[in-house]
Amino acid sequence: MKPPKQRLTQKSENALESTSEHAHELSGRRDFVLPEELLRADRQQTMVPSSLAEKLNQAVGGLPAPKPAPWWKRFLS
Amino acid sequence: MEAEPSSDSPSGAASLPGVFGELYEAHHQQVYYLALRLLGDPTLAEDAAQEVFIKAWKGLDRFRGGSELRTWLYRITLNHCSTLRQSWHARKMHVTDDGEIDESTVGVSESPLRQLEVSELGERIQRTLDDLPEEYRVLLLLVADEELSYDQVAQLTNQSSDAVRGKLHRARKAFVQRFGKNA
Repeated sequence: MKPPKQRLTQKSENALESTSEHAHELSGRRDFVLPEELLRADRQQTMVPSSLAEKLNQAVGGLPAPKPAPWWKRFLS
Repeated sequence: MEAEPSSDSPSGAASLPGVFGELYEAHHQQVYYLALRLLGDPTLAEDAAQEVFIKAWKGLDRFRGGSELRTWLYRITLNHCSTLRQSWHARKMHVTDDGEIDESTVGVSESPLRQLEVSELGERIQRTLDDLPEEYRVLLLLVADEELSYDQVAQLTNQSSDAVRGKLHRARKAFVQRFGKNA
């Protein structure tokens, strides 16, 4: 089992055009063929500070509420 | 894409009002991550994400759904981070004694909180992205969102889909080469 760097380096030349999922998981480590797969996994592991929502709540609390927009219900439903 | 913030939502979205909480719940991870990897600093990324969502809150009534919501938030994020980076660039360019411009420290914060990013892999990814031209960095980060089509990435980066495909090929190669060097 090679670390992600080596796998990424070795496979990238042949697989740069591939859009299929080639990553596999073994012993808790993943191999990535495309950089965006690596970034996607990195994003999933990145913790968003809980203080962000608290700060936002304080910030928007002092702002006027946006007008109702009907498309939101369609978009979010 | 239904978001149902609950009282025990780990994101904290439940504390936000109504539809804004749903907006935050559905998109905060992507917005924060994009800002983090563009700015390279968790504290700055948090500030940037806050600004992005405040702008989104203020613009909710003006947004008519002409573009998809994720794309709209990404555009705000890209513009905000680009403005910040340009500001750093302007501030951190120094003219050396022999008249040359020194840009060696441009765009990288040395905040102690940067060390809070505990993942060694994450830091390596950050170093690799920092080494890339901004155009490549943005392309890879946008394509990493599987919900974005090439057409949407093209819209966000003001170019054609064919151009995106061509540059993405080069961006992948550049990333792989630098990722190996940053071991």
